[in-house]
Amino acid sequence: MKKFWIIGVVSFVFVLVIVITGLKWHKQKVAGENTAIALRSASEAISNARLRHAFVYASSLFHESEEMYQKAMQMWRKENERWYFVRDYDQVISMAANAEEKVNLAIKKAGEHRDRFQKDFEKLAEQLSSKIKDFESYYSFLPLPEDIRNKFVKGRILFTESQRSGDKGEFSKAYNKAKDASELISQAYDFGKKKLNNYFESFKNWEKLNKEALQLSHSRRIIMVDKIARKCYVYKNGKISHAFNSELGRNWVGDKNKQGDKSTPEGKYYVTKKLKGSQTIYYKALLINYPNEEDKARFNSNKANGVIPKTAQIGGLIEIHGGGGKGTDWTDGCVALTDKDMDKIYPLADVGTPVFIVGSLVSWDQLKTRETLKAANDDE
Amino acid sequence: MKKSVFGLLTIAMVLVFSSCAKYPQVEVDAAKAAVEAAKAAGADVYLPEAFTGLLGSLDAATVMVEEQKSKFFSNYDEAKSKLSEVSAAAAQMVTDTEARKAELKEEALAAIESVKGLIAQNQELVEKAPKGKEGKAALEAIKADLAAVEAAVAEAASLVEGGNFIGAADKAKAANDKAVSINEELNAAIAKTKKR
Repeated sequence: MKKFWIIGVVSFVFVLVIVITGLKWHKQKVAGENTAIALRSASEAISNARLRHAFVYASSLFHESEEMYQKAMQMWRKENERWYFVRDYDQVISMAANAEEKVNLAIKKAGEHRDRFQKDFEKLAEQLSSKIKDFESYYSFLPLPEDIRNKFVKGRILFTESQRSGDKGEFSKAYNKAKDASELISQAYDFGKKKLNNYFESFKNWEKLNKEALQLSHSRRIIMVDKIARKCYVYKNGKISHAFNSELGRNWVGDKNKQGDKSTPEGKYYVTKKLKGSQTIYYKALLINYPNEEDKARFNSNKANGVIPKTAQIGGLIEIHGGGGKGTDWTDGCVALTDKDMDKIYPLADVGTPVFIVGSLVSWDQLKTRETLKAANDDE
Repeated sequence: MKKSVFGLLTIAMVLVFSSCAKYPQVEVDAAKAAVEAAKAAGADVYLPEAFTGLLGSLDAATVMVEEQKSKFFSNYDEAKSKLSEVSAAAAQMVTDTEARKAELKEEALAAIESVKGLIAQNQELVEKAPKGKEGKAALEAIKADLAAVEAAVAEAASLVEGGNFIGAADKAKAANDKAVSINEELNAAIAKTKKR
């Protein structure tokens, strides 16, 4: 009887152990499977995030989620080192779920940031294209300092690079390059704009001179030089009777301030001498009375105010002469025509013929409405 | 009786402690090292999409390994096979990356040569272009533009030396665009002078 009880109790305990072990084994099996599902899901989300460049557009969120995933893997490994029946995967699953949640947030944020970068880049690219077009149309023909031109070209090259990045869908890179390009291009653009705006502050005076010239032309021939249009006109009876292409001093924007500034003077002058043959090296020439009284007064005032050095000379020998047709502004301040055109204008002028030189006969707004200044120059 | 109980317990213990197959640490380390080698070769830069796929495969394989480890009866055969695939793909990626790098390097060098050719051509055109009153070239503007293009080419060349072939190709191509526009500008100026 006693034996029977012993066998019965031992058998019961054995069966109980087997049942408990079986249940625990099943529980651990399910927990292991769930852990694998959680980690696999997190890993797939991370791969998806990588494909969407979350490491660029939501960098910190992505890296945080990646760290959490690695930590979950470490915890899983550590737990797997323990005896099968005492492993606890709850923390691993929780960490994997957090990693997945975070990486999904990173994907969402990356999408938003990428769209924002794309929009910002496209907006900036549009602004830059317009600035480049304006600069090339209105300001690039101005005599600009070398560093300003250099900035523009560097910016232009950077902008092309940014467009290439944009074409590849690398909008963050494209935007950052466009921003660098914008800084350079804007400096050149602002310089050119300011220079031209300052120049056109004299427009009222140019208009006044043109009115006077047109009135005077009813009684005699007048020569009118429009610097921006690179034109030399002959007025007769209030109308243009002849129009010639012209070339100017290399630093032609603005009035002439002193000898050697390579600028063409602006104002009202007259022909003082007609030169030809051995009298001039430029085929034929019409010498004008630069500096006139107004030029002298301004020169003295500039000298007194320290605008120009005390040792500066006012210069002279400004002519309308031949040798032109080089396609560039090359003189030291004279107005150059082709020899053929000099043959035409020379007999139309006498000593005493008024010569008006102005920056422009039309306002800046009118000029801008023309297709482009460059195109206008190219048509010549 | 005692013997049979002892026998059953022994079998149970054997099952508990000796049922696991050997953890494929060597294969895991080899796959990780192969992926690192692909990254060191520049696969993440030159073949980004393929490299992202490779990282995903490595992650999937390591999950498979741990999944087996978490089982009472582990079987690493499938995981080992996946790890070998990852190692092989990573090794192939090193070769592919080198080939892509060589291709891009060639592209960058060709673009640099092309710009250099255009710069030389432009410098010749500058000589032919309208000259100034005092015999000096009156094309400072274009010369400044050319200097900026030359600087960009030098930058592209140094990027090639530094192994940044994508950046070098982009810069050289951008410089090439500008050199072409200068070339057109110069030719137009010369044609205009001839016309006159």
